[in-house]
Amino acid sequence: MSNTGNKDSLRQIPYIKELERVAVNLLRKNQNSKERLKEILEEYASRYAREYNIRA
Amino acid sequence: MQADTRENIILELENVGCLKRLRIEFKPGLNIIKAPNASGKTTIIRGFSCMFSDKIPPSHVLSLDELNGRIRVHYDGRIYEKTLRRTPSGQVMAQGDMLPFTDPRAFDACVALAETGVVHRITGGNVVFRKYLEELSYGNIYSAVINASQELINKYGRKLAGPSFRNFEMLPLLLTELTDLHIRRDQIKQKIEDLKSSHESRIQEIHDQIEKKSSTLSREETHLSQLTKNLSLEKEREEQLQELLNLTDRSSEVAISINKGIASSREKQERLKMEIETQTRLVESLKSDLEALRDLLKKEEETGPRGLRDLERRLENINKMIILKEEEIQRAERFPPDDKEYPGRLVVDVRSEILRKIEWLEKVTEYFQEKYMRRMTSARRRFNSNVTRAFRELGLKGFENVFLDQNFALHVMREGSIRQPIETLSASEKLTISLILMLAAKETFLPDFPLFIVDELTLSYDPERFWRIMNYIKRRVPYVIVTSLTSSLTGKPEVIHEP
Repeated sequence: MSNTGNKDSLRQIPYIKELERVAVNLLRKNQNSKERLKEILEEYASRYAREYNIRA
Repeated sequence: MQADTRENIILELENVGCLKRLRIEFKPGLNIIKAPNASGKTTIIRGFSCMFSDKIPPSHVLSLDELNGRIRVHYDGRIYEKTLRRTPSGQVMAQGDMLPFTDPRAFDACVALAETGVVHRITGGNVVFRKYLEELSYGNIYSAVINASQELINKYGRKLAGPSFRNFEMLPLLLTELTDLHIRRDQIKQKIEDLKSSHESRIQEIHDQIEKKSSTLSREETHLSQLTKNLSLEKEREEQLQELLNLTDRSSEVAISINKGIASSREKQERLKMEIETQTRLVESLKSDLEALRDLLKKEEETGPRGLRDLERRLENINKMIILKEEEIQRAERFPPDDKEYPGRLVVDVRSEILRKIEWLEKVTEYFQEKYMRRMTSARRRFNSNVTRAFRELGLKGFENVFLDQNFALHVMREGSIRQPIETLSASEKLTISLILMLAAKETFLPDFPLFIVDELTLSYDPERFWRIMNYIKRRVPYVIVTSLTSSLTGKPEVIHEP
């Protein structure tokens, strides 16, 4: 039961589906795009910090 | 059945490796490229692979003594062409089409080239196999996101451990120190006020004493003046009586009475003189006291309250310390205006922003870790299932099962469930297992890829077992291409087809 709860909460991570799609597309095209991947993660992390700060 | 409906694949190579110009045709089914050593068998495989995978660098394909080359493939009614060009700097550039079934994983799952270490994969241990399945199942994408996310978490962690944030952690202590300084300043100010007030009271007291003394002196001086005047009057009276006595008969009763009067006057004068003397001393004493009081007042006014300077110095020092502490607090609270990353921003805001970023990245890491685990577990199970099916259908003697355990270590089980260490297998057995594992990988991850290519693995191989495997593969893959060494001296590769 706790595992199910954990999976549900993981699915509710903001932008996670969008990030997964972007990251998979990027790395399937070029597996050496590690720096670009980090930039993308930083952009999403900043967006989360910004938007969830306002909500808080 | 599927292979029957397919058309032939025509491969044309120009200035590729040792081949100046070559045109060969692959038919659905098994295609055996036969040629002697150093006649271009591997070159054909490399050139063809360039059309569906980017694993082989163009510099490994173009002839060393040529500036331009070309690879052309006729497939499914269309021509796909790639040109190779050597730049003046010596770099080889490739430009052109890729086949429609191109897949970056195809080279690892569908081309058994001796140089790609197909045997090394089974002898390389669980790390090699985990990496292999990671790449084929795209689990490496998930692990790349996990790694990138972890790197960012570490980067942010290092940032939070930096001097700006360390100072911020000290803020409560700095604020307590500032409050202490303010308390000390207020105490000193109060002491100064008390000292000044006490000094003013003292001055007032001296003023009062002077006033009182002056008033007493004035009264006593008036009294002295009155005594002096009385003495003078008494002297005049004595002189008048003396003159009167001179006019009377000395033996008369009048004279006796005047003499008595003179004696009385003289007594009175003596008394007055004594009183004047006492009064004069009193007045002198009062004057001296008054003078002393005035001196004291002057001195008190000049020197001010005792200990005031010391207190004022301490107050000045504390004020300086307060300014420094406030500056320190300001630095701990806010980034400087010229900070490259967070100019003028409040440290508490930036810290909270970074913590939220870490929070999000940790969730992302957890999400992708779960995805990675599920994907890898599924990949391993499907892979094992295909390996088991291949061994069962091939009916190879001596092998009960071959599988990857949950740590991606390869286990070879002999009949009777006896585990045989990989390194003790013969070269032929290693090749057999390698080929079957590769085919299982292809069937698991690239089931629709139409090719399976085996390059020169027939050396030191049991021919009966090799062809049994090839025939098995032929039933599962539309086009199987195998290179084989011949002793022919014609030198030109030729393709023998077995439908």
